[in-house]
Amino acid sequence: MATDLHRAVDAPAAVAVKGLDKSFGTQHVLKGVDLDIAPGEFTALLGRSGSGKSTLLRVLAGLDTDYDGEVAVPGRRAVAFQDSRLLPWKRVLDNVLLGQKGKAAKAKGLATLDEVGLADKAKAWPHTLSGGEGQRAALARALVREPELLLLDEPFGALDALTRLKMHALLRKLWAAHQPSVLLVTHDVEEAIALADRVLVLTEGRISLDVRVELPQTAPRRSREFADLRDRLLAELGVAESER
Amino acid sequence: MTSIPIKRIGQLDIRGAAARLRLDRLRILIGPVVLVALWQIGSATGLIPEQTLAAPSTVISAGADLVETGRLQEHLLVSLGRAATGLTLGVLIGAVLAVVAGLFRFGEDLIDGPMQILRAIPALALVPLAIVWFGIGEEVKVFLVVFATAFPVYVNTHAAIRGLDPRYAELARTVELGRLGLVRKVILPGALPGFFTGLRFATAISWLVLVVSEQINATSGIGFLMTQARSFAQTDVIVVGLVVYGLLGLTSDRLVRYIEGRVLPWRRTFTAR
Ligand SMILES: Nc1ncnc2c1ncn2[C@@H]1O[C@H](COP(=O)(O)OP(=O)(O)O)[C@@H](O)[C@H]1O
Ligand SMILES: [Mg+2]
Repeated sequence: MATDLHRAVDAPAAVAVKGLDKSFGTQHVLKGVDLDIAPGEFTALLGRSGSGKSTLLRVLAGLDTDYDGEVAVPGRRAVAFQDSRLLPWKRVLDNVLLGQKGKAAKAKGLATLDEVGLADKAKAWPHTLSGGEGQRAALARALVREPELLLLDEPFGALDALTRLKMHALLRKLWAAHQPSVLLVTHDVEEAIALADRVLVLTEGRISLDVRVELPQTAPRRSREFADLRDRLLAELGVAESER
Repeated sequence: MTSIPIKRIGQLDIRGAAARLRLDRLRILIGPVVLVALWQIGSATGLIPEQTLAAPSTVISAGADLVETGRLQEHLLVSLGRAATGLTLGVLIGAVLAVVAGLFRFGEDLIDGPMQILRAIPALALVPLAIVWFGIGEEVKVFLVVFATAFPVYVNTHAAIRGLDPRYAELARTVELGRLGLVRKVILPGALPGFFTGLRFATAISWLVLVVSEQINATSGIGFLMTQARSFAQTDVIVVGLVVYGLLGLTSDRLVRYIEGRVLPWRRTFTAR
């Protein structure tokens, strides 16, 4: 995975991006993105549709190596997408073990499935899973790699509101247990505030806003700070007051 | 459209539905039974002359005769052998070519063009050339089956490989599967449904080709049995041959479907209890 630009680094920063430029033909999508993510930091990336969030995530994932600028990421990375992307012809456990080698892998895969609450679905075929279960399996497939950097591209975007809330709690729990750096791409402002310690906004190819989330311990979602931050982020995303 | 009262829906019971399903299956037999009855009546009243079409009862006794003397089994075995040999070779060739063309750039350039051109030729148009090449022995019949069956397998398998969702390949990269892992765990299993579609076509086509080639030049096989019967104007034996071909086609299709269900359990919509 290690190329000159896309080299693996250790601490202090888990992710270090400097002057990242990315174009598709004549379309200049990322115009000098600077971004550091600390080890174990939970960061959310907001941006309007088409602002280049997925493009940035794909560069960090190593899926797109055709860019200008400097990008340093950890060697152990994992990605989950909006679609669970489970191979239909492999049972859930075998999907989780995709790319894993060695004798201990199976036990580890089962333990991870247990962690995401899918222990009883290890032998199920993907098409029998609900949307939420599919995303749980995708999370297990990511976690089993013990990533230092977990990249999530709108992983809950296709779920219903109730399931999404459950997945939020699960993701926070998993993050607390494993402490990877997380970059969560989302278009849902409330999701970003509720989950992340830090929220970024991508506007016109640059990080236009970078704020820490500081909420009271009790009932954070109903706090004043939550509402204020929400308004600020929506304004940054260009949503007029009358539309909120 | 009439609406069903809610209460009626609530009362629908599974056992009743199952019984109705069994009845439905029997109902599809009504048409054929009526047809055979009409045919028998037509023959008995002389409306359908014996030399045009033998009566169903005559066909049945001719069939029983053929079985008793062992002739039917003997020729059936020969036909089965030809179909199996030709099909095996044809499917193998089609599948290997599809995989090479699907996985490698050079394979695509080298193989796909010629295959697309050759597949436009109906296999039976090759009969004269095949006779020149192989004489009139076993090879001609097997060759024709090989030629005819390789294409549906090639075309469907190749299309399945090409049409695989690129997001799966992307996923393979994120879990660092590697090139070999990508082929083994993503591309080949993902292309299997396409392969089976091709296999079903190939199986049906193999009988078609065999029917014709066995009637052109053969001294054995079901097709030969029918040709021989023709020269004696034995319409009963000819109909027996037709029935056998029909049963072969049906059975082999069922068999392939069964194997498909076994090999691709993940495609089953309802899991067996
Ligand atoms: N492979 C590609 N080829 C051409 N254009 C692309 C490609 N991927 C993304 N784009 C373009 O780049 C822009 C940003 O896309 P994306 O990063 O997917 O946005 P977001 O995830 O923020 O909605 C869009 O205008 C999109 O059309
Ligand atoms: Mg996107």
